[in-house]
Amino acid sequence: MNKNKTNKFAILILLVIGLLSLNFSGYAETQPDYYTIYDEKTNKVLFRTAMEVYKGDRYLSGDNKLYEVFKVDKNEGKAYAKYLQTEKLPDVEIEEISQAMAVTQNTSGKRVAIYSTHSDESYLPSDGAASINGHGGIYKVDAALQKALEAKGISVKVDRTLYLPHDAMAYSRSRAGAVKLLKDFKPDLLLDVHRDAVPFKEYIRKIAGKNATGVRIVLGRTNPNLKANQQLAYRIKAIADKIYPNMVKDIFFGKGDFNQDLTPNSLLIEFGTYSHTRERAEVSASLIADVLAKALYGSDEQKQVGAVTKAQRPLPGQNKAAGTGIWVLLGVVVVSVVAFMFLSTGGREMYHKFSKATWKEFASYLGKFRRKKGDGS
Amino acid sequence: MPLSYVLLSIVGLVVLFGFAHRVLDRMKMTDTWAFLIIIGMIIGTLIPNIPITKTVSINIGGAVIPIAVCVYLFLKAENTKERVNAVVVSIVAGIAVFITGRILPAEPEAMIIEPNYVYGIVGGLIAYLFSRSRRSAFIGGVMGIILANVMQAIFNYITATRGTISIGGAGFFDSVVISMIIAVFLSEIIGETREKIQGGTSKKDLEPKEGMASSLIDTHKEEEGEKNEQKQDE
Repeated sequence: MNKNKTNKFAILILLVIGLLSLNFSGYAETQPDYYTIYDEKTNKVLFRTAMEVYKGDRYLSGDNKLYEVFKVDKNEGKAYAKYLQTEKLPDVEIEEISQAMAVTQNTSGKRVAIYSTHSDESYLPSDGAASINGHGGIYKVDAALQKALEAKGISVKVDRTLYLPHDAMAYSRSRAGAVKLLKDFKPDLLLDVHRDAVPFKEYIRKIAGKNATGVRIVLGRTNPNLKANQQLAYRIKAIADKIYPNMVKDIFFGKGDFNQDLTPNSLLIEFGTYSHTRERAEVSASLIADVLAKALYGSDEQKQVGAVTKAQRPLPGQNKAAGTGIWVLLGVVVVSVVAFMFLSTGGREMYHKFSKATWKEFASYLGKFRRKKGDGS
Repeated sequence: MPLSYVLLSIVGLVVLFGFAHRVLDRMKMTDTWAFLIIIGMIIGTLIPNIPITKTVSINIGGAVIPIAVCVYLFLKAENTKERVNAVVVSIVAGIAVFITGRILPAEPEAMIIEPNYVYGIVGGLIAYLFSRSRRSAFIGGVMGIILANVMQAIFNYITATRGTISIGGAGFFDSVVISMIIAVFLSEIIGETREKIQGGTSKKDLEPKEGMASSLIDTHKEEEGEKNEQKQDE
């Protein structure tokens, strides 16, 4: 291919990449303030979100119904989701969990680590701004959660490193913090604490008689630990539904990793939204500490095996879920190696090697290749 | 396990089995060195970062070792043209990755693909498209991500944004690995395939010089080329 053609090809590809990335950002001027997602059958409003909605997005509603978005109307700011199935959350017996916790009450080594990828996130009425260049109000929510967890005998480490600016790369930056927390602190649970950006009507509610806010758990759909993380999220929701009904607003399956590929017990939690007071979020943070403690340390399995002192206690079924991830990875490895061999030797050569495979063939597996003068690159 | 470790392990195995011989040869490296670099990169991520300023630090596995390899390749480049190419590719890839970081949606609900992979793919593709050799593709792929980090640090300084930057750290380590593999892989696979389709290097002089249509090529000459090819094959 001559230079002229190569340049044209390069420019074309660049244009495609450019257009694609514009599409990614949803920069279209017609973009609505927020989307309303409707149930396809009943036309009932499922939820509202200030974020771009895409076909294939999944969402577990407060009443455990799993929906998938199948149609998005950009101009009208509407999207339609179809009901897939009702998810069965794990059966939790609060009494049994409390007993199990009593058994392990005095064993030390309960740890939870917290960080906030979007460090600027704040609550407009309390903090005076929705975004602060520095430690946002979200760190006060971290502190409330820390205090409540510590009251349950759990040692908590909060990473106060700033990962500004508030963009998609923030996750790559906060990943360094997450890795450090995992390495130095070895927590049983790693939490990335956020707040949402939708109208406050979606979130405000009374929990245990207090003015509080709903909590959304976000799971990374592409991460290999999804199954394990999902089990933990379902367990948390199951327990919360019993102790503080309506607290867990929903579970959203996002299209990223959110650093959840680092450990099976890792979650992203949104405490309310920017347009209500921070105090509501702090109340919810204090209340959810009880749920988290029960979900992590009140496992019935633990009662059978006695106190497990090792950090990273797997939840029932989590080993199996993690196993699935490993098999998927192995599959990827095998496919890549075969693809590499195929591509690097060429199809015909490969066929020849397998059809007339002899030890001699394998002795010079790569075959001879001639090098010419100047053929250096 | 992060994707970067999986990818590096695969590349490590490929190198151990000798499949990457040709690529490494052209990059003027030996199997042993390549393997040591891969091991070094993995171990390097586990060592604490080297602080540069109060808010900027540099990761050994994700930045120091890859930069060292780039410098080696840069010095080993065949001519000034290739060196200039490598520098230009790095800057173009760096800008592309930085811009991608700015325009991708930030909220978890709005993401459509893991951003770390996007940076790697964008960096690797740009590095491949603009580079003229495997060496400059590698340099562009690696330096694209690292320069994007540096640009972020400068951007933060200018706009007084309070944030910490770990150059080549954790998340960006994945991007560096993906970008570098894509850049070299594409150069190797597509470059080689194009060469095969074209009929091998023995025909490289047969291409029309001024972008003429293929029907105008001297067909007799082409046959001669084929004869040469057959002769060599024997």
